[in-house]
Amino acid sequence: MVIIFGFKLFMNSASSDSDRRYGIYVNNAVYAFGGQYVGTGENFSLNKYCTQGDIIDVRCYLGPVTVSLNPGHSWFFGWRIGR
Amino acid sequence: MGVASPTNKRAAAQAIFSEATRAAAAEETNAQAILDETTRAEGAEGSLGQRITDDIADEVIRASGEEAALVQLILGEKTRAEGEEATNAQAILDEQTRAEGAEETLTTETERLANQQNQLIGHNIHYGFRVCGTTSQNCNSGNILVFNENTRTDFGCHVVPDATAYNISTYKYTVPIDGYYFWL
Repeated sequence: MVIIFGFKLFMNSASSDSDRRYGIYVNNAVYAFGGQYVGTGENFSLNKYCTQGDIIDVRCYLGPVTVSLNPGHSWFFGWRIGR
Repeated sequence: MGVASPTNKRAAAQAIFSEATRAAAAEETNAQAILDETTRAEGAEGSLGQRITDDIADEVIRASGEEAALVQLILGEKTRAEGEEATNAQAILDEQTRAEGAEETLTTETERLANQQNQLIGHNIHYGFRVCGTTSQNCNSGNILVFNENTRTDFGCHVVPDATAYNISTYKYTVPIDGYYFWL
């Protein structure tokens, strides 16, 4: 089935002058990550053809950074768009 | 007592001779009668033996014919039974073949209906989630972001159709099986 995954993160400590990245991981392997630097907000989405049992999560690909995960600040989402 | 005269002697001899002649004739007659009776008895005996022999021969022929007819009857019955058995075996085989075909058709139809059901259910179900966290996090490389809240309806958190698809302890979403959920 095809699923769109995405996230939005609220940066407490933005870093625009050194490498900081977040990524979406599939089955413990990075599947996609953001740009070279993070600003005050980081988000992207992607569509992924998944099979039952695939495991998806969001990780800091390259840190350190500080992020606020409070409701309304950051979220992680996904929904199926096709079989 | 007086002396017999020659005449008397001659008469007496004549009488004796007559009597002897009669006795001899009677004896001959009896002998002939016995001979006739013997001949007749022998003839009767021969006829009876022949008749018995003929009767036995006839009985043997009759019994042989009856036995042959009986053998023929048994053979015919055996042939008929074998034919009937073959017919029954063919009928059983045909029925078995038909039943197997029907079973295969039923299995195929069941699978087709199950697929259609899953497609209908799957297309009518929203598979999705949105989760958030509850605090700030200092992230180092490789850290999983702690999205540990999946029920904050005021911020649209949800995991459907199966809430267990997202684990709020490991912060991971596991893609659920496709098309088998009734979400009411």
